Amino acid sequence: MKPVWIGLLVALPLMAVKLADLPGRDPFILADAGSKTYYLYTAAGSDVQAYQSKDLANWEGPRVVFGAAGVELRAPEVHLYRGKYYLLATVHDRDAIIDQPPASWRVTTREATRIFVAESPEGPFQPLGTKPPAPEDFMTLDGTLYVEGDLPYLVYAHDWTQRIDGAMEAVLLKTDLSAAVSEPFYLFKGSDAPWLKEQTKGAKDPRYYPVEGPFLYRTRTGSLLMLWSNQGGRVAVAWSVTGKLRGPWRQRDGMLLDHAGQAMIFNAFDGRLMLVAAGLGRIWLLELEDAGDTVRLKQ
Amino acid sequence: MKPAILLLVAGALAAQVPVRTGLKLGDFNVHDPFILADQESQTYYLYNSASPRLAGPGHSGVLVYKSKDLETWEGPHLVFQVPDEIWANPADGVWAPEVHFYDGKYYLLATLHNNAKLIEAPPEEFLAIYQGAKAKLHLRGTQIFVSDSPDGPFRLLGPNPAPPMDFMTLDGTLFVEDSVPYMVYAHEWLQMLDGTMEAIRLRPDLSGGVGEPIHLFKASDAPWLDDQKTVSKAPRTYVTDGPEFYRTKTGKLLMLWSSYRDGLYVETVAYSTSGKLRGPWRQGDVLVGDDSGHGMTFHTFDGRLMLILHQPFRMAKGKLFELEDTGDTLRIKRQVVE
Repeated sequence: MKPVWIGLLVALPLMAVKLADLPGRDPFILADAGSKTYYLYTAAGSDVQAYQSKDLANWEGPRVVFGAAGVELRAPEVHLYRGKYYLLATVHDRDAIIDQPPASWRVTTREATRIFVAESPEGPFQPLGTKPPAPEDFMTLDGTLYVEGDLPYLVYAHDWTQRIDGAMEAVLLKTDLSAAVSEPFYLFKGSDAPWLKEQTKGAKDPRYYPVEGPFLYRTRTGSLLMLWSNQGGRVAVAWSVTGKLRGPWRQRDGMLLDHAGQAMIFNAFDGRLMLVAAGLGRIWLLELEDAGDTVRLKQ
Repeated sequence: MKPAILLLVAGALAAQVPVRTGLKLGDFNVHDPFILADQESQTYYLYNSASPRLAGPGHSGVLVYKSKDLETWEGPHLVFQVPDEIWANPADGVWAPEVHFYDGKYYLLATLHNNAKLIEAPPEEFLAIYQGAKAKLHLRGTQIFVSDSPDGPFRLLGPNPAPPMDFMTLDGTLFVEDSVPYMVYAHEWLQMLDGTMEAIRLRPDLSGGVGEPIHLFKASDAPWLDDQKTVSKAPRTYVTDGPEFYRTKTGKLLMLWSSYRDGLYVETVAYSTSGKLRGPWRQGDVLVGDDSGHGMTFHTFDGRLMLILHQPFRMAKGKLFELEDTGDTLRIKRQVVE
């Protein structure tokens, strides 16, 4: 089924909400400098919802800023880029089969990050291009926008359900983000996760390695880091040996969070470096320290 | 089974195999080669598996080629036939036979199979695709046999393979650390998706495994996988095969093992950072590529360090190399037999 994009704003009475009561899934916070407002985006079924706040403690919402019919939306992000607001969301049509065994490991279905554009962080968002930037027969998710030397890239997770070993990949985008202008390229794989080194006992369970939630961050000393998660709700920190997106990438030992995943970093208006992640059924807002070669939670 | 009966069986079967002399290594096929340099007889024994065509109808086995100088060989001699009435089906083949001299006896380690006896499998969606269909998980493991001679006959030790029966495993080798014997084996990618290398402690008489299997590393740890930079919709395949140990002159512990790079077999190296079996293991570069692998090292009677492996994977021949022990690692000095 072809998805039908619903760009209309649905007027709902906005409710006052505390952070702990926000839905605990795939959070993304845009600190909108123009309006001095924080927007928290999250997905609900086939809708993208936004909550807004002036202080990160008191929120109001939800406001439906985007919708689709007949597909599942996940992991929405909104980035301000060259004066416009871009919504990136994973669109999954579980009825649209790509391959089935034995041509593939398991049944694979259409799943990809699509990009939409608006003049305001509250929408309405219009679709860009007629197909996703990553190859249409790849199952990809959680795409994020990363700009390096004026060039915009979509960095996305390649689904473990297609690859067994999930991978992080990227593709160069047109300056209006409407399509890819390079072949996709490989960054690292889920089996590189640092926590897998802890295993000491032999086991017979099949091994597969989810990769989720890429988010890129350049430290104050210029190191390029990528936060990423596995399905179990852990956040790993990868770093690029060259300081460039193409890597090669290495994994820091240990993990940044062990109870939440889908983490992203933003600067609060008062200058604090903040981390938002979801886990144990809620959203976690934590202060971060930029240690130059990595990031750490502030005590 | 009584030894006297086994002797008769082996004697009768040996007559079926045409023995040739003056063979060069390139004159016969060898898959998963293993050389025992037998001090007592000053003879090199090259073991290989024997199909029912060579071992007799309905039975697979192990054969040996012998040499005094690694240049000319005579054989094959059938030294082992998979016995009836064990967990394995004698017709289902023998993989990767090895013979180790340990504590005054000769131990044969042979990977056996029972293709009809299925083991507990995960839900079908977690099963790998193998030869155009969902993989079937069945009994496969390395069984140990013992003899007083490298020529056999080899007697069954214990009722089961050393690893757990519900693990699908292969290519077990013997490794002794601090006087404790271990079997180190590959855990099938068919069961694991990402194949692993594991170890299990053995009873002092090698008649079975003791305790929990130990995880050593996984195939996806190989650093040269990154060279492939694969971006595709195909599922990834990570194979572990053929573990073999070597301790360098400075005491470093290395493991040679095999896997696939871009669809071709490779011989690669892992290093134990503790010098002990339990690792942690760090992965090195490919030692020999070009569809080569399943190698092992041995010393010649005049003290040279050698590597034998097979190449290419299909209709393989034995290839012989001289190695240099640099203290930290192994280096190919020259190829002795092309």
